[in-house]
Amino acid sequence: MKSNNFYISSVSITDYKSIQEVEVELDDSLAIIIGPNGAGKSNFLEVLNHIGYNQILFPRGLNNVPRNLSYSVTFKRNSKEKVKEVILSISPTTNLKDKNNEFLSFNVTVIMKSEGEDNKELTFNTSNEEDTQTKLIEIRKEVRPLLNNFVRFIKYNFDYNSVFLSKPQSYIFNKRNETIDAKEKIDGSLFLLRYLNLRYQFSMDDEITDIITSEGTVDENLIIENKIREILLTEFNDTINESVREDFATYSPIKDIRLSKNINVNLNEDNIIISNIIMEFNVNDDWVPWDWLSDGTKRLFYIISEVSLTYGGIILIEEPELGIHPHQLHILMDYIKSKSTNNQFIISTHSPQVLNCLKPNELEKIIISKMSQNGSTFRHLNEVEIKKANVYMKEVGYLSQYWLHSTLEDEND
Amino acid sequence: MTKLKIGLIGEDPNDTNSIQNLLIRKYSEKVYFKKLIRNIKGFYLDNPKTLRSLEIEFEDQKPFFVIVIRDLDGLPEDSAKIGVITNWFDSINKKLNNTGIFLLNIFELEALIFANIDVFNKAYKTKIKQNRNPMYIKEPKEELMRKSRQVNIKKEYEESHAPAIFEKLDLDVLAKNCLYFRQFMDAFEKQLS
Repeated sequence: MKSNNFYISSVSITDYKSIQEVEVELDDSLAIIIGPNGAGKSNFLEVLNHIGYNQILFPRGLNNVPRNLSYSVTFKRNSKEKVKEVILSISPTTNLKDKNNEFLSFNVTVIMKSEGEDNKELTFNTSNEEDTQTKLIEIRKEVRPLLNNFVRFIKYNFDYNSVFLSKPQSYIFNKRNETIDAKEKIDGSLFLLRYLNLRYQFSMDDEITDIITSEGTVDENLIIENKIREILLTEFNDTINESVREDFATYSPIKDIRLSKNINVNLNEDNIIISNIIMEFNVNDDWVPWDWLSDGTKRLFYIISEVSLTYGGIILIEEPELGIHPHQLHILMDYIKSKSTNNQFIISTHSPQVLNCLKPNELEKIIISKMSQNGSTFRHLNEVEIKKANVYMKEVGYLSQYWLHSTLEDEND
Repeated sequence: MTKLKIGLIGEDPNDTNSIQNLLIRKYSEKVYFKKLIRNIKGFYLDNPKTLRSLEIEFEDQKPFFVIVIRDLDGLPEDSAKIGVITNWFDSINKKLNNTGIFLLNIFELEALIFANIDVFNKAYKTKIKQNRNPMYIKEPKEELMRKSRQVNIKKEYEESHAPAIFEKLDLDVLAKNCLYFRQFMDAFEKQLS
């Protein structure tokens, strides 16, 4: 990762679903996790997602911690900034296996390592409320800004039928109070957050503020209606900016996005009602609504929009190949690799084709997961396997064949 | 007039798309392009499976001739690298019935952008100096990324942008400013004539 942002260089996890105890080192740009169904790949990504939104950095309270989970994660960055490394460790201190025990307490340690300075360490147990509050204030002041813009988790089961995408939206403004009729949970999607924010951006436009607060006459209504449409379309183009559009055009069948021009505007004495606000997608030279897109195109839309709107973050992707044509998957992996100069990607996959994006000197990016008697295990390729992978790539065909036809997932001898 | 089918092989779809975009403006009435192998990365270009696929595709698609694009990942003084890559081209050319013409990118494809840098400067609002010899720029892609990032961190040059840039590059300016490209164009014209 070239940006100033932190990436996860290593993580050790204890007691989370199938994971009993694992320690994994991660590449700063890309890690590809392979392994059979039930090996623990998704559980691993869930823990990383949890770490990204952990309760110590973000004030959501301590009750969101999965029961029993303890972890220690090392964040590093390759930049000239002073703070080079942050280590965050959390472990439960009560018997959490008793599900009736609602009181959870944790040992928390945060270590900041800076160049030319002694390490700064903060340790506390959350059962001491006063100490916890003091330490949390300090951590959120010093550590949280470093780890901002953090984890995006692109799951396989995104809600493709979100009303924001599939149904026309309405904005209602009145002269006393604003009301909003959209109440759906948006599942952390950056794109939908932006789309939702369009309403706010639109209402903040100076001309719209004037319109909302002015006493329009019937004769002026047509001019005002057209003006409202024009401003909304312009605000949408600003919200979904050029680089996102370029990414769609380059890496997906969606060549552009726009708001439908058939926006209805109704003005009356008390309210301004703007309805039929819906996005359209240019695919195969036709403008079509969300519902007309194939499931594969919707998934590409989801992945590309989330990646495009993240800069200097950690992006977790569960099985990017789902529903994607093999040629398109090749393009998608090119996209992910090009964005891995500024983000850290951690991907789980069942697709041998995904491995073919790796060069011979990038084999350390593969992580093999497996279920053992001691729960999920995660490991990198050893020297012998790297040598064998190189032979496959040079003399047999592709790296994918090593996975499909050989011993890549077998136990180490 | 029947258009001639020209085969394309390259390290990356961005490379083949870029060269196609560059040539098609001038030659669209005479030729059309067909990629002989899809979705292959440079490091797979010399493995047996790829070479066998290439033979099959060449025989099936019967292009008039084939443009083979490869990066040197070095400068012209690196005669050892040039030797290895020339031998590679000779071996692949046998599979193509000796119809191949070689576009060897000194360092990498992006060096050609430096031969007509105005186009890039305009697109990314950069101020990269003109008149630099594109054959002596080490890691040109890195430089384009760095310079574009300095202007706008969110509009950094990426490999995938190359085809759009090559659409606007001036073929004659490239031939004038880059010896290797000129040699390639001479071979291309000779095959067409």
